[in-house]
Amino acid sequence: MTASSLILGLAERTIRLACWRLPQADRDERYREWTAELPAILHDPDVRPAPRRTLRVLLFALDQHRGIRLSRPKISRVMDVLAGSALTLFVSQTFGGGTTGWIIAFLILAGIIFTERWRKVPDPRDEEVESP
Amino acid sequence: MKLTSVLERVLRVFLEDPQADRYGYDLMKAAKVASGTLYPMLARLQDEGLVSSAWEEARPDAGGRPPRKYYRLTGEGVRVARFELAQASLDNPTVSGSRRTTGHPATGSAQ
Repeated sequence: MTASSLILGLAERTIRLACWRLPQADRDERYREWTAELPAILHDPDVRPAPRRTLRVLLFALDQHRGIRLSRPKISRVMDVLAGSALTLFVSQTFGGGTTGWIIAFLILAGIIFTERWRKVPDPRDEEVESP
Repeated sequence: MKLTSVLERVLRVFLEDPQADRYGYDLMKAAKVASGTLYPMLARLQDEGLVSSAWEEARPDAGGRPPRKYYRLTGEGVRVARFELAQASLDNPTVSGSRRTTGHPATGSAQ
């Protein structure tokens, strides 16, 4: 594996995670559009030296998270925070409300977030095969 | 349309050659806009019918590069962009081209 493919793979992964937050209808198209730009950025002859191009690739991918987050309706961002807070509070109180309760609550919340994220993030390059 | 400095730069890049197709990275470089700002802005402009997009057709000389999505101003987009930029110049003749307000994907484009 070359350094280029490693960087591109990392950036694609970052973009895939960002696209997961988009509506299903937009997800694949955005992923295709943004990942198609990565090779152009990584091999842009106008940008020197090479580490600067690498940085640009990663920033391009990371910044899509910001763009998507800020594009979402404010109400859905607020609802996410409220739901997470309510769950954390509920679980911590269930476990007695002490430090241990809070730690367990945060671990459960983090587990849910990561499980959901990794379970639901499809690789848009994997085409669905429709059953007859 | 609320014309911010970022949107103004993007529109100016488009208007350099209204018939030219521009892809995202090209616009980013020319208008000096971050990706997280540019794409939501393009999406909004597209929703308003000011920008159209099309996928590049696969070309044998592309060297295996995946097809890109290209953007260009629609006829209405050209008209609105010219009007808005002219209005901006009239409103503030000392500032030609930018630096009027701070751009932001949530507020920095067409409303």
